[in-house]
Amino acid sequence: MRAAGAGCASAIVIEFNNVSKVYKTILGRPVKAVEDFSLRINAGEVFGIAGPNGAGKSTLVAMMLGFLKPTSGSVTVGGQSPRQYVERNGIGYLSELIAIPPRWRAAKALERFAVLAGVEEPELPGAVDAAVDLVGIGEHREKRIKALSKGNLQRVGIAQALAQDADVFILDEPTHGLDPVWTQRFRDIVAALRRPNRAIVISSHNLDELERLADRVAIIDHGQLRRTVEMRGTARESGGLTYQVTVVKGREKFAEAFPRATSIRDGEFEIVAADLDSLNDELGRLMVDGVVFGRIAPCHSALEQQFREAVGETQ
Amino acid sequence: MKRSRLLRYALYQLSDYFWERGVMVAAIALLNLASSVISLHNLSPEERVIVPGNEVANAVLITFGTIMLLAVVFSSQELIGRSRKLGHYKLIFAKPANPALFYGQLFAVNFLGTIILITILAGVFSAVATPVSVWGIAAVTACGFILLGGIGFLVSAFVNFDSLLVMGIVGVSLLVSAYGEAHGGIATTVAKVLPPVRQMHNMSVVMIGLDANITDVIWVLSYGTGAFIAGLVALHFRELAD
Repeated sequence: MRAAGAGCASAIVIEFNNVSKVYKTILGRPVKAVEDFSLRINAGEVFGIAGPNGAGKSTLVAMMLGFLKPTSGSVTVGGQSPRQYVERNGIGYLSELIAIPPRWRAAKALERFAVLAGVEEPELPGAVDAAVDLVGIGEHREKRIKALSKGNLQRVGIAQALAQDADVFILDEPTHGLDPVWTQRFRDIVAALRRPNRAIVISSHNLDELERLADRVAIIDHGQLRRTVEMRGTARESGGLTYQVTVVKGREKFAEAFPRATSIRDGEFEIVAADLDSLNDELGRLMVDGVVFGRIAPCHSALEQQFREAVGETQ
Repeated sequence: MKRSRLLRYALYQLSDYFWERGVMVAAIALLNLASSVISLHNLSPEERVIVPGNEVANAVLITFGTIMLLAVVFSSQELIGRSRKLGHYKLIFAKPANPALFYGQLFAVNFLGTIILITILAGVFSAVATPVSVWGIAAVTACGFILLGGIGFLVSAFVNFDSLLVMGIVGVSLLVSAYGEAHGGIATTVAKVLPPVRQMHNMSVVMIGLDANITDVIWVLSYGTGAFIAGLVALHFRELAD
């Protein structure tokens, strides 16, 4: 369920204007990480960033946090330079690799981050307990960071990001290492985080994750913005979704109803549907007519289709 | 607008100092001191008195000179570079914390931790071996920390492996300074620009109760403070990531 105001607020929170970032190798050879990149992320939306390895996602995240400066162009967060914004307001940030000194204990680490986030002394124990409970690491709270499993470390990372009431959240590969139960729990957490004045940016390889969580997804490749996908209209934008259908009985009737269906093997077809409603209508009509289906499954998600097209353009 | 509670965070930094650096400094220092204490216990109480130039004074200068150098190097190096190298800075500086203030405070906390540690060690040595100028040893350590730590802080603002670089700078400074004293010429001029390691060495006489040359003290403190401030400025302008 989407919170009221989600997607309809228009205040721009994060803005990239013709941003380029060039690194120099040890030998001085320039390497373009981001090239002529422009993007606006609004308050109230959950925004996804997707791209293959080396596409420039980490560089974009580092620029949003002010860890890196653009070689040309400008990045602003809340109308200010990212560093200025972060030092005044803080950003709820989950890094791709959770780098916390291994000697620290889980609860103490959360306490330290809460102190840095500006949580006052009287609220500190309560804030730490709430963070521990939120991510369910009660039994691990006294363990050292080095003794935590990947999934539990990820949960500590999520907890420290949520330890502050920020207007901007940047979550880099947030479900990396989480089991299916906590992946679902994370989705609930993001849903609860939604506010009209808050922007949530999720950078991920997991397209299914982005499809479930994001309002819009930027697909980047070779440091360039290939396309921005409105998640509510992906199927129509991509000209339809592809499904695999196994027909147990009534193949002729199926072939008549879907003349453009591609036969993969005996009784298995691939079809393209403009949207889910029309597909259901047509399949329902066939079932009433006696056709029996063994299996219907999407070949790849709407976002995946867009991703393949966008990234495929350059490869 | 939010603000990190950096002063409160200093308690964690102090605890980190003792666990990550202080324990090692104390262990090495105790090993060093133990051999001196055993040697001094072979002497009669009258022979154990420090008189400038005597064997006991030389032993104290060598022992505490070594401990001070090790303590300063272990305690002041890679303050910024280690965090950058290991990526610890990422979660810290997503919070409303200013990097220059954070690392400046870390420098101050490590300075304080080193002085506390050295003062305790000198106090123990004074009690069990022979009376030494505890405050003199603490003062020389403070000057050494400000000089070498300040240079290390500046270097660490730019590169990740500052320890080796600082040791190299110290070595070159000593060599150039010694060459300049022996032969004069351009080496004398160059030595004036390089870190005043020689002057710091001259100040070690304070550890046996003598007075240091005030010009040396001012030059050592100015050089170290200047480097530290330059490091803060570099942190303000430089990218946090590699």
